[in-house]
Amino acid sequence: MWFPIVLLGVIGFAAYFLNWNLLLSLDFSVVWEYRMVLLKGLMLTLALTACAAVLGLFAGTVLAIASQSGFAPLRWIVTAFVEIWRNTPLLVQLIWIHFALPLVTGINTTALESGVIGITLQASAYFTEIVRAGIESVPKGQWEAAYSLALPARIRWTRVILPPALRTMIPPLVNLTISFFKGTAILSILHVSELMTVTNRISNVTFKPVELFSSIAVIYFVVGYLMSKGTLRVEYYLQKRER
Amino acid sequence: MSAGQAAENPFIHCRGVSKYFGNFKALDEISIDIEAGEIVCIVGPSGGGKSTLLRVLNALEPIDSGEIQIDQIKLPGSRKDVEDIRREVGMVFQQFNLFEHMSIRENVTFAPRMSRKMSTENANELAENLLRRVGIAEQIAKYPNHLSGGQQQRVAIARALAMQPKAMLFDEPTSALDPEMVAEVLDVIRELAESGMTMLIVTHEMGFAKEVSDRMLYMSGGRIIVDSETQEFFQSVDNSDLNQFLSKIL
Repeated sequence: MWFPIVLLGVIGFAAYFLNWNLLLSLDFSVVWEYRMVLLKGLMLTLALTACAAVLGLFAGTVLAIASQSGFAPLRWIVTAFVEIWRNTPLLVQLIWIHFALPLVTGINTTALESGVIGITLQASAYFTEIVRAGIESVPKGQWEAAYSLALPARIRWTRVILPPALRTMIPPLVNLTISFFKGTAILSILHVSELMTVTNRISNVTFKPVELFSSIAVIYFVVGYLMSKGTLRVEYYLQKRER
Repeated sequence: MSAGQAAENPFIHCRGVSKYFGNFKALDEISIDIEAGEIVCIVGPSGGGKSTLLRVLNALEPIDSGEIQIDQIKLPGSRKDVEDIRREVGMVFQQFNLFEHMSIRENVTFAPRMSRKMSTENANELAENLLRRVGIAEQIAKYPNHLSGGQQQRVAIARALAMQPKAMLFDEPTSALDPEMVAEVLDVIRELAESGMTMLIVTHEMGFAKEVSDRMLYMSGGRIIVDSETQEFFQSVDNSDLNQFLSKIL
């Protein structure tokens, strides 16, 4: 009985404070007008995400394997790398790579290159931890079977240990990829021309921030949602095949 | 062929082999020779070093002192020596340890293809023959999860045989099985014993050990306490430790 009254009250309260003049004057045609530019921005965002995911997973797997090495200094290097990139903000890393690193090394990188380097390095640090946990979840018996069959080290890793490890890693890998998909928006600080950057630029010339940023929020949501649902489906399929 | 008889070139030769886990002495100066074709069953209380002895023979555990020689290959040795020994000696585990993400066919063909560079065609033919031999040819396309424990262990035996080893090590092959599945696995091992394969079997199945083995070892506290011909082992060995063990288990 009381619920509809409260709801009505909340709606009335919100309606009173909303800027109706602005809301009624919203003109979403600007999004359509700039659709090709926005689409290009989204493509770059997806390319950066793919970069972070693919290169990051590859580097993370190599580092995770190195972290299992019997050679202690190698393990220390991996630990140091992971901790440095995990415990500093992406924003600081990007600015350091783009503005400080060229002064130190004398090699200039474009904004896009700096962005790719930064997001990939941070992704590889996070992926290392996930892959390491995945490797450690593989039962000891699988290792012993591989050893007792005299399988070469490369085969042991790529065909015996990593496949079941990757299987258990799918959910955290998807979550991490989605968080790097969202993280690409931070690259707009370097004007990398991904979705956030181009939206900013359009907004600066059209003066329609509400329409533009509301629209890209929806775009980010839809793509992120599809990524998580799509990969869970793949996981389900893989599990079904072996049951 | 029996214990105590000095041999020129035993297939498996251990001298003063010791293995520690931390401060725990799992193997205490083990010396033993095993001839090609011999079937040796190892019994004894848990923690007595039975499994550890098999594991050092397969180089799954490095030894702390002493020397092992199998078919002229020495341990401790180079990585190549270790791999050569593992190719010569098949191992069957208590928990089967099949590759869960591979079909039964892939489980059996994988090692010969990857480790012995056998062609896929030959490996498939070998797998079909071996799976027929262990009585599960019709399951070849399934995954390990689809099979019962007894079937999985028989696949594991076929997988080890696919490497065409000269000797087989069985580490409590029936201990993880439901009682009704023990016989089907023992039948496969028995058939293998009749084929002349050199075998070391750690087991608690005394009736089976008595039936298939040429020689029995009783291990306790990391040492071989009794080493004798099977008949003698069950009839006339006078060792209070062993007699106590046998009276508990028989």
